[in-house]
Amino acid sequence: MSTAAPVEILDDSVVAISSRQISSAMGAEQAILQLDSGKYFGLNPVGARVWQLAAEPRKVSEILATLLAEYEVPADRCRADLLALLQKLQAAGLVEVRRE
Amino acid sequence: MSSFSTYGLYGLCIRSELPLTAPPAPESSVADLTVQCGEELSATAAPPAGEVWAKADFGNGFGIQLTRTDAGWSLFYPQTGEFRLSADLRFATAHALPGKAAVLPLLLLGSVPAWWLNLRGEAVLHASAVTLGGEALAVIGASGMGKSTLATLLCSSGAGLVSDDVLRLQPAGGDFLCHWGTGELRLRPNALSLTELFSPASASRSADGRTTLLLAANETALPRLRAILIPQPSRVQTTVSVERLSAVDASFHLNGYARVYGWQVDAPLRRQFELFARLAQAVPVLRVAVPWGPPFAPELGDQLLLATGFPRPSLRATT
Repeated sequence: MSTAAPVEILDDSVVAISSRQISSAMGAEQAILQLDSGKYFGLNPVGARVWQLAAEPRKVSEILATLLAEYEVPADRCRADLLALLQKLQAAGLVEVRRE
Repeated sequence: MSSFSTYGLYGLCIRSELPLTAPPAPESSVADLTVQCGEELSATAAPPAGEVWAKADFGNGFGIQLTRTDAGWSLFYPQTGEFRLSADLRFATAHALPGKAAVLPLLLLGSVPAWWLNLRGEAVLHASAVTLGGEALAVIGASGMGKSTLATLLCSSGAGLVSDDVLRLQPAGGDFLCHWGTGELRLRPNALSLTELFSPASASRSADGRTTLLLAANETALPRLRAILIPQPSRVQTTVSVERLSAVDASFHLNGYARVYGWQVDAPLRRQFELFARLAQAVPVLRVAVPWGPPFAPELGDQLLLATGFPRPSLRATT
């Protein structure tokens, strides 16, 4: 797994799922195996939608806009939850983050 | 003078100089793997040089290392010995550490074919399985979680044994078929009372001191896997209760109970993940709380079958 320090995730950060994982959509959920740690992760339907959106490098602000268009949720809460999820995925070696 | 016998195990034909407690292969079978006895290892033997493909530590000095060598493959068991396989996986020599020759056949009955199948691109569950009327129930779990005990209880209720400890699955359309194992169950000391449910002629002792029960099914076609059970032995529970896992949770458990693990390379892990993801979506995976013994209630096998959707015993008797 990458030992690089976590990158702060901001609205204009670009996120993309790591090549060091394998995943499978299961209904609306997502199962993921991180190949270096051997750890297994499951994402609920909203998390799975974020995973799907991050399949291609994409700005956090774009992902947030898509979620706000698809789910009835206050923007502040959606943004906080999205950043928290992305930070967890980054810490697990499942997404890579870079600044534009 | 060497003497080889040919065995049918997990859908493979194994021609072996090591004697195995396994059924014979059909006469026309061509050997998938031929195993010859090799020279004894020194007491200080170590795994060979090469690329380590997998390494697992089971504790107390037990473990396994799979190494890609110049000559082929090595499966090195630090407490037992080594199997050296040709690059095409068709031939192997078995090498015991001093005093461990009697244990090598046990490895050839379980661990070695499991690794062999993985190297051939398959994934194998750490499971015992039984069949009733052409449909199979698998019980997955780590060592000591109750796989063999539950399989024994199910056999006491009329099921036949498919396999113990190693379950090779064959995708077939949207289903998964189960390959036959040795026909024997190996019991732990806390489950020895279960031997009383069967004829004394069924029981014997294995080289590692476990009691074995011969419970082979009277079926030949590969049974279709109907459900997978994850046992949760309970000293508090008084009845069997079943909870179906979501596909994601089921996939998590299946990956956790692969028969071989410790991969250091990606390809087998990817294959295993993909196969178990398909399996988790095709076959119900059930967490089963089971009143645990000893003593075990005699009706526990029937309760398990009913809880997993098999007909009542009275109906089974008439079909």
